[in-house]
Amino acid sequence: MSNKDKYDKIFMEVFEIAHNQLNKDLKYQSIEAWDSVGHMTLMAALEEEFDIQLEMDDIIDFGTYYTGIETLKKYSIDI
Amino acid sequence: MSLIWYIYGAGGLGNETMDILKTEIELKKINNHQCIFIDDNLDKEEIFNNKVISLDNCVENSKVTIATGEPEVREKLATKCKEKGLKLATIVSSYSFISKSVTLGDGVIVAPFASIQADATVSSNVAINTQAIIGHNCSILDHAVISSQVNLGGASIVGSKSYIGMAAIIREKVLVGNSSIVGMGSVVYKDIPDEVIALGNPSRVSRRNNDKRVFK
Repeated sequence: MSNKDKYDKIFMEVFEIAHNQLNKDLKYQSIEAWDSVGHMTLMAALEEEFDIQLEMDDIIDFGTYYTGIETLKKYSIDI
Repeated sequence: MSLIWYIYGAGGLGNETMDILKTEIELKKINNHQCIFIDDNLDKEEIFNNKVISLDNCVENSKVTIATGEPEVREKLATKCKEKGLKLATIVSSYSFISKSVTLGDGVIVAPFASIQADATVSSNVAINTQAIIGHNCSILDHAVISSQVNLGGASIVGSKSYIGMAAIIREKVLVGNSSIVGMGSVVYKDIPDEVIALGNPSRVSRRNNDKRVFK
């Protein structure tokens, strides 16, 4: 499974959404499931899948499906 | 004319606070007062078997205790009350424990079975809910809300307008900054900065607290 597939799967499982919802409109609080609690579930799932420890500022700034891809590059994860 | 004690906010916390106030009057720990809710958004004259009025209709120089669980709103209502000439008044349940060395500000609520230990300081307009434990030398700053069963370790600090969710545990000497939210059941080992939402065990910062709203 590619990193992109893993990344998408985490979003779909954590937020219980379909693949076609993984787009530019998917951002923090754009769907009910992506609230502050959902956000931490997402962060924990990404950390476990990619074996990384996200810094506080990166967690705070992780605002959208697409910008998250940029954030993970800082941890040498290419999506 | 009888004295009046207003409870500002006729929601859940308001109902609880009114109950504590009336119990204290029954126990003769507080002199008899006419107990009235203030709520600016209600279209009725009575709620929870109590009279409810708007702030505009309040009698100046009466006592008021603010009973909303939103810290930002607590601050705003405190300002409005002072402008209206009302005096913030503290309500302490006789079923709580408060060390004699504790300093309590004006407008504080201390609910039943809360305990506040030696040399703690509770500033103005703070709400401390049922069974919360406030350790020795803790400081809780203005307008903060401490939910039920929270445990604040000794010498920890809760900043102004912060909200600590139910059953959260704060390690001793830890600082929770101003206008931050600690989620239910969180275990806080390290300092939490200003204006963030922190969750989990161990507690981690999740987001900036941009909305300044606990209940949505």
